[in-house]
Amino acid sequence: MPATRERLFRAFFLALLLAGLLAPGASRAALRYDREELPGGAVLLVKESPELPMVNVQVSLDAGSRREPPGKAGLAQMTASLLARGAAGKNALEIAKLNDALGGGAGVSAGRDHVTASLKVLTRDLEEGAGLLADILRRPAFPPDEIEKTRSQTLGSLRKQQDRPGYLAGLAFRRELYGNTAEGRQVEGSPETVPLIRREDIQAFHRNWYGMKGAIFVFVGDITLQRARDIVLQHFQGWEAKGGEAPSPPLPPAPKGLKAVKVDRPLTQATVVLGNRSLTRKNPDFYAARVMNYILGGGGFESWLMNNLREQKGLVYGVYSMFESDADSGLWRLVLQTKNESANQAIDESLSEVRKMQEHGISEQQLEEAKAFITGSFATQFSSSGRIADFILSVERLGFDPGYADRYPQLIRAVTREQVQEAARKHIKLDEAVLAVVGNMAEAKLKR
Amino acid sequence: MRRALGLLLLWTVLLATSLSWAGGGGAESPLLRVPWKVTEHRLPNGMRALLLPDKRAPAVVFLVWYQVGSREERAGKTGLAHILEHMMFRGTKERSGKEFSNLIKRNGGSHNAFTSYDYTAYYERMPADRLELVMQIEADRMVNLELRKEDFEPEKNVVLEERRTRTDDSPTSLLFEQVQAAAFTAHPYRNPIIGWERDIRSLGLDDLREFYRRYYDPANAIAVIVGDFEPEQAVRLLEKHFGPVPTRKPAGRPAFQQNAERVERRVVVRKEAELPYLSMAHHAPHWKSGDGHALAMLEAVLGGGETSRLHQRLVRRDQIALSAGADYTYISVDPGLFYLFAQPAPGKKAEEVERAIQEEVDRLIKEGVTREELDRALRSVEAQTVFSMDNPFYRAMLLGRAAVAGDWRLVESFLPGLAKVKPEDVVRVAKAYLGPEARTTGVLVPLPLERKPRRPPASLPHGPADGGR
Repeated sequence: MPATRERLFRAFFLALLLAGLLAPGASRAALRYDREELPGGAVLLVKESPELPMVNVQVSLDAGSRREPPGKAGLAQMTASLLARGAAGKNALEIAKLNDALGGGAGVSAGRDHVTASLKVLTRDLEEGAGLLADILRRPAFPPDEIEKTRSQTLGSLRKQQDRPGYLAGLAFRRELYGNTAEGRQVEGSPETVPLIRREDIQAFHRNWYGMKGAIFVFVGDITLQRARDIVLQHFQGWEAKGGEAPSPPLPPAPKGLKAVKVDRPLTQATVVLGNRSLTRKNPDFYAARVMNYILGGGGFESWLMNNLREQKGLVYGVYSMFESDADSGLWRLVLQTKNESANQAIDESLSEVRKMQEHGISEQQLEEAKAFITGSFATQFSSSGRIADFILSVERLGFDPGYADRYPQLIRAVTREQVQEAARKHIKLDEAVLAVVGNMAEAKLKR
Repeated sequence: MRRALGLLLLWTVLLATSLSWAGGGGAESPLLRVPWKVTEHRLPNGMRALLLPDKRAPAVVFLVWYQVGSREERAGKTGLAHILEHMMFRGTKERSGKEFSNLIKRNGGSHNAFTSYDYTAYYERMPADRLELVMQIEADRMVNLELRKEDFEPEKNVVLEERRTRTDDSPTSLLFEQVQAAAFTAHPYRNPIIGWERDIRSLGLDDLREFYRRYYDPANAIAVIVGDFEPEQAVRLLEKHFGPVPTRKPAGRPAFQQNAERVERRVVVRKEAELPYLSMAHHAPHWKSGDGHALAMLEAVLGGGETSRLHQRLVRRDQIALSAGADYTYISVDPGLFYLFAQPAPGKKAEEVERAIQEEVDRLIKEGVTREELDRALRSVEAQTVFSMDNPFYRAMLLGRAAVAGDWRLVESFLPGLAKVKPEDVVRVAKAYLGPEARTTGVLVPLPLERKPRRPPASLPHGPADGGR
């Protein structure tokens, strides 16, 4: 079908459905896949599912923005974006033509920890696609004129993002909570740092961090372990990164109390982000925290926050809370939008739901229902090769073994009411939190 | 009630097709290998169902599509279809809204709904063994919805908040809303799906009741099931739960026609924003027209992906835009718009990108397109079609949208149709439909942020009652 801009209006916004990729929990059809260590320090993960004539490939490298100097924020992203702008003797247009002919399924994106190159191809195009991936990852040319084009594109889209209240609120929230660390910076960089990135920086970043060590290769779809191994070895064997020192700027002290950050904009709504630094994904409390947050603000219509702010009071279209936890860092946050005039009320109601959780906890029935959802919905998520690939990649990045999918439901089932309440007290810290608000301040008249 | 399988089959119009898309690759097309076997079934009360097994995961996606959208709203009552969709989550005589959501969740399911110009659809994604449960729930709210004032008042505010987020605080959304409204003078596609603010505020429970009674009828509904289930069993469950729902034998959908006027229009939205925006809308025929496939290829050549002409010219060569593209709606009840659009780069004006787009359209008409360009586009669309099959929910979306537009088999005939398009067809449709004489051009002119907010603070005793929107 032509790529139509679907103008759909949903009963509630989809962030809720996307919120818990790793989160849902599992039982009947556990997810089986092969894991193999490859020469050079890479790992291969393969899930064969031949129903569709296509393969989903992901290559994850430890080359995220955490590796870049804070003064050159945006370097990791710019390096990743430039890979397909000339490589192995092909120019940007030739690479784009090849990619478009394969269905446009190749792309590279940078995050804080990792760079992920992904490729979605028809089985018939797999050889061609893998060759393309190897060319851009291993042999990028970084042509100077392409660097300038990418730089002005990046600066332009940073400007464009300013028109999105949610982006502005998230930016202010992270900056206040994490300062100039990787968590506080935008992966795309800032208008101040992007102009400072030189070609040598990009070449060095690529040399230092792109290689087999720490790489994760994921293949899901119409492919066998044997074939996947052959492809990786053929195209990537001997690929070595130089390595180096990753900078570690100091984390600012946690805020004292509820620190408000306000951004005044002529908008009809206030966008509110409230949260704190919190547990990592490997913290044993994670499962209790997951159950707790599902009930508080992660579960759609019937979460406490939605029930109060939306169903009863009509203050918001959407309100949700979530833990964003990965291997080394984590945060908890609550996000809502409401007309400027009701910002104070919406914040108060949200805080009172959080405190209710911390002071009174949950009932046995609420606990059982939450567990039933988290475990019952687990297997339903593995319905497309894309989602399976995302899942097994995230399991590997966390350092868990392939049996994790089997254990997950048990870990959820073992959670007690006491642990849920304890998780709310320990991991939601309203006395060390940031409250970022973007909106019309004259109308909002924030008390905080 | 339960029936014997043999009897059921009388009602089942078996239209199972092993997928026969020729695609670009002819007999070698990978699409031949996509497991795709759709069964169509019709209940005595007129309700239809499309069944597509997909056993890759122990899950099932269940959707009920009502053939009613913002298209069916009368003037002054816009937003009705959408707000009714919201109210469908507020409970029935059988169970409250809270119980309803709770029931789905504790059975490991997710649910939501969406409204568009042509349809309103409700969906659940459940573990495979809970198919019957969602049928019970959907059959219940097909007839037993309770519309209560105490639910409606907060829900109106929820929808107004939704409108603020999506449209009022988004400069480009506001522009698209106005372009659509200007381009359609006579057809209800002129109204935003979410509704105009004043209309939303003035809707009453009686409006909802009448709309619900008229359109929420089994004869107006299409169920789409994709996932891990047996078609015979699904048919039995449909008979059991939806079979008893009585039909009031609704009339077919009202017909609307946009005037074939040849008028050029210009819409300017001035609003606080960082960058301008440009959008050009052209009336274009849809799937029922012989030109539909050529228009879809024109969309791909002009705006589909990185090698498309608009991207190459505006973003890559001239560097006057951050993005540029085309958007054509092939599948809809009535013909829609063929959009060309671009996001000007900082320092560039909308008029500059407008000129460049016009030049590219002129060049395409004058110099034609190459076979190579079309083949690349076709290969790309073909691959994307298989990719989209990876997601069961998306399969259900394709089927439902096509069924609502008139025929679910459009999903199957689309690629073979594209493969038949010749370079001269693309030029012909560009000439016929992308001319400036029947175009609506929308320009977002950014106002600086330093300006004071339009509305004075609400506490000022003598401020205007309304900020003029």
